[in-house]
Amino acid sequence: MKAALWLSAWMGLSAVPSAPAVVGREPAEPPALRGSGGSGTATKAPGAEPQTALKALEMSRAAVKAAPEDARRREAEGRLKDAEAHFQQARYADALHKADEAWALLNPPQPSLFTVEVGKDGGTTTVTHRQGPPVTVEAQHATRILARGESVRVQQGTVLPEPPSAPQPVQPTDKYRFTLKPSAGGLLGPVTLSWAAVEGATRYEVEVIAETVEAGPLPLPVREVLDARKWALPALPAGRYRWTVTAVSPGQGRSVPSPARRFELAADALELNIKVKDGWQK
Amino acid sequence: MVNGRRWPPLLLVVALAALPPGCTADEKPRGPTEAPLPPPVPRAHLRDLTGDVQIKRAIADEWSAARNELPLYENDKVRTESGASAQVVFANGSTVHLGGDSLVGIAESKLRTDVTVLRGRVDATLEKPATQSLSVTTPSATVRAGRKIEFQ
Repeated sequence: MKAALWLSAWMGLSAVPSAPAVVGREPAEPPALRGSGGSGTATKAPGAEPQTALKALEMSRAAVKAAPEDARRREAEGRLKDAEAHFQQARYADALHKADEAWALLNPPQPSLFTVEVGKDGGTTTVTHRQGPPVTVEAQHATRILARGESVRVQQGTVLPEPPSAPQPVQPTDKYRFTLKPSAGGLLGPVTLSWAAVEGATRYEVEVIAETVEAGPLPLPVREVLDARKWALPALPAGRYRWTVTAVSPGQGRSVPSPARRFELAADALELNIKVKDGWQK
Repeated sequence: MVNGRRWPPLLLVVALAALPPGCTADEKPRGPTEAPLPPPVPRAHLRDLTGDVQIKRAIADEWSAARNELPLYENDKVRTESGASAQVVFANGSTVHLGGDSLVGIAESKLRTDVTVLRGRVDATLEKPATQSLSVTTPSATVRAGRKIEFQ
């Protein structure tokens, strides 16, 4: 059920521009599905507005499109078809619920995997989270949460090391508008994100989330783990995006995400007009 | 002031009153110590053993060779030699894979942990973290995974 709620929760985050996205952390149950009970009734759940249901549909369509051709995909297509029908009949809560089910079918919950290593002298413990829901590490009455890929080393009798500080984004400046020539597929790029170094960090996790796009469904969030302090994004559709970066240290764990920054991608309108004119001349 | 010479008869009266009715000199009183103890419930089982894996029972002094499907009880210990490995499967299905040169202890069920790692490396797996839980304790930290985790 939690997996089924992931999509709704992600959309809940994306609907609040100031809320940083959290990678790999299980979200709380969103209000959109509370009370709907999954019974297929047409009761309108709080927050199940057309826009929310539409976003769920878009996400599920994209997930189905990207899924391999197998039984799971066919089952998801069935749920998606139900969702589309509910949406057409303005049963938005049911549309959201079915779209969630389709998405969850293609994104099943993962097992929890983690490693604990105790040094030969017994005095050092290294905990590494590998997959699935986060784990907690307790030492000296302090607790840390480890998400996927994070690691922490604890010396006996000492407190948990402080996580690294959040990286500071450098480029582009907040709300910068890029005007770029579209590629053959209509996508825009390249855009390079950069941030300041954080002491003790060996990796940086960057997440880019689309807030609005000019045409087509919202693209899925783009995430990348790098050991550099800049990242050239893949080409993206025209629209508005926000991004955050998180520092990861092998001994200290993971920082909180940086303050979110936004940028806009716009097609070079002049180039577009010339092409139209050429077309007329032909 | 209490007269000390009056205590021996008083103690005798108290002792006689404590004897169960119908108890003769040849019978032992049936106390709670004679109630049959419930059989111990294994906390886990050993599986997928490779190489030299040994076990020491909580009540034993010696290490002995371990074997597959051996039940593990509170305070039992398992150790692997270099190059060996073993899997500890807990009753709820969560598993702890022991690498070589490791030493772990099965925790008492009353404690808020399942296994104590004293040396070496373990890889823990919860196939269904929504319904399973696992706590691993070391000399310096406790790691908790699964349904018991609550975010603050």
